[in-house]
Amino acid sequence: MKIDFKNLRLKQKIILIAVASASIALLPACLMFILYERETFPKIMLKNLSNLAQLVGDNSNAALSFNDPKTAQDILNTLKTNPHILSACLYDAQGKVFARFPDNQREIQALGPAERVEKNEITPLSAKLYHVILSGRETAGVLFLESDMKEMDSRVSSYTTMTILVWVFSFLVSFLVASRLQKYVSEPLRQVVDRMKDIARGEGDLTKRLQVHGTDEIGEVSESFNTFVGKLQNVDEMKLGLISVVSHQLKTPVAEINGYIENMLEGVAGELTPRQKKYLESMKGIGQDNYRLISDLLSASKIERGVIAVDLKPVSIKQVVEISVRDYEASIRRKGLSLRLEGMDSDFMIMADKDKTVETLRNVLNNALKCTDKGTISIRVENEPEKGVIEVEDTGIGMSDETMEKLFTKSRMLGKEAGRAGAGLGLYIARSFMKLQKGDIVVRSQIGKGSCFRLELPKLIEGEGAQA
Amino acid sequence: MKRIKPYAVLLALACFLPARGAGISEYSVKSAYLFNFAKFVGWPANAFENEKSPLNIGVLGEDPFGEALDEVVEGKIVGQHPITVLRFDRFETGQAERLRKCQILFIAYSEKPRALQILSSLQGSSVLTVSEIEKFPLLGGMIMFNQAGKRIGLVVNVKAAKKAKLEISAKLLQVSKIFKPERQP
Ligand SMILES: Nc1ncnc2c1ncn2[C@@H]1O[C@H](COP(=O)(O)OP(=O)(O)OP(=O)(O)O)[C@@H](O)[C@H]1O
Ligand SMILES: [Mg+2]
Repeated sequence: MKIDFKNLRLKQKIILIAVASASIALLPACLMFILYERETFPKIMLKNLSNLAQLVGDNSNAALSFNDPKTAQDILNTLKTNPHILSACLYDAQGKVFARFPDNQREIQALGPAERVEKNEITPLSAKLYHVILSGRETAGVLFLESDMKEMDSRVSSYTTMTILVWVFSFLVSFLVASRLQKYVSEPLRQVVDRMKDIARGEGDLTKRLQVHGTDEIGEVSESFNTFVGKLQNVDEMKLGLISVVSHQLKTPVAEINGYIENMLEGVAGELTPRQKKYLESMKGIGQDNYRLISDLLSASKIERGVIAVDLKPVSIKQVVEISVRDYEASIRRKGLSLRLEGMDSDFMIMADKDKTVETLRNVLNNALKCTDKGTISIRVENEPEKGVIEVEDTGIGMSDETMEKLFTKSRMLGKEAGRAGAGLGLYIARSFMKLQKGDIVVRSQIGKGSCFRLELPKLIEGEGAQA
Repeated sequence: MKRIKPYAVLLALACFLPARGAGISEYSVKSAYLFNFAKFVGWPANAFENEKSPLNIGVLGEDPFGEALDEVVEGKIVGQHPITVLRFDRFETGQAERLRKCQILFIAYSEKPRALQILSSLQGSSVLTVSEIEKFPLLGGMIMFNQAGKRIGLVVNVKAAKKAKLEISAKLLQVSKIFKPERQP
């Protein structure tokens, strides 16, 4: 199993670091523990063996002094009770074998004078010990004991098991502790990251601030991030302020210019040559576009700053459609499209802000015109039990589901596509206006086939109109 | 032939060394026993003149040990007591006081007829009496050398020893036969 440390979540990294360092730190201690035991245990074992030799030697003293091998044999046979003693041999003062355990047939060499000294030897399989038995000041004999190392082996293995258990336990404990404590580090950071992602996606509310926990680096990150968001907010406000001031200043002059162009086209300033008329027609189109853009900008900045107000009054739905269509009839015809109006024979009243509904419908019509090259643009008025509906259907390019998803959000507002396809304000304003009027705007569309935008507004309820 | 010679010498030596141990005579073994008794028997404090006064091993009657006993005890010290050997040719009544100065008294076979007399003269003293005379324990003696096959065994009269305020180590008793008077009427 290979862990790609780089791509682990911070949470996992912290746990991994804690567990790894606890385990690694404990490893030398555990090893030392085992090694120490391996080192000291043979000494303890030799000491025990030597104590045993002392005891047995002392007991066999008289047997050696008074030449009684039978008693000596009895004494050695008591070693049977010690399962670790492999063999034992009692030599007399001359080094001759006096008694032995177990009492088997194998020949044992006599001990030379040089061998009749205290000595011991440890091998991985056994511990051997020669013990000189003193009787008063004289050597009465030598006792040889051989013990196996099973005791040591079992002890070392039990120590090893214990050490491993301790190790596993500390591993688990550090895992649990790290799992619990990691959130103090990773949680605030995750909040920062989440907020960053929101803002990058253009959805975050710039007026909100992160809660700062503590003064450590993470606290600093949160704080710096808050400062950063504050600056972003300032820029955003400045942008909106600028837009609002500029569009406000431009709106009236553009409207006046449009009025003069209208007058001139109507012949107020005298007869026009066909050429003059053609130029004025173009100017009129451009003027209308400019006016719409400026109104949109102003509306958007107002929506953004939350300073927009609606003035709901009973409005004739037919009138709203007529006002909106009037500006587009010529353009639609010029583009070779046909315009169809349905459900316009009967009129009814809706509760709406007339200007805002007109602006919404104009935006929808503008889009339909822009996105349709041939076919028909249909405007349908429907009288539903509780609401009035205006549908604008075209036979244009349609749009993908992804486009539809973000259609009414401000994420496209003055974005990358601004200028090419438009400022990206139209539908955002449409949705905002409709919501403000307790209505709604929805879309259905099929790519290549066309789109249909449906505006819904509450109908005037009897009795309400009398007051208005 | 010349090349083999050193090995032959070594071989001879190797055969000779253990042979010397095996060929220890009966009385050198018994002298060693006599000396060893000093280590396995406890005397009351008043048995010695002082802490460093010698521990006397007496041989009464015809001495069967010869040099062997002197060789064994030479330079030996038990506790703080140096070992000395005292010899008495034969028992005479006037000697009783001198015999009582011994801590261990070996009564030779030659004194068999006077054994009872000797033992009674030692009544009340703390002398460990040792002998090879048959039925020595029955007579009131404390330790008897008892030839049992190859091994020289011991028979101990615990009662007699106790009466003389001697403490015979359990280890010594372990390698001895204990004399039981009721069995030998
Ligand atoms: N009827 C439609 N058919 C196909 N695509 C449409 C239609 N209406 C809108 N769209 C798509 O949705 C996008 C968003 O429209 P919106 O009115 O919000 O902005 P815009 O038209 O690009 O710019 P603005 O209206 O501010 O000048 C358009 O750019 C276009 O791609
Ligand atoms: Mg638009």
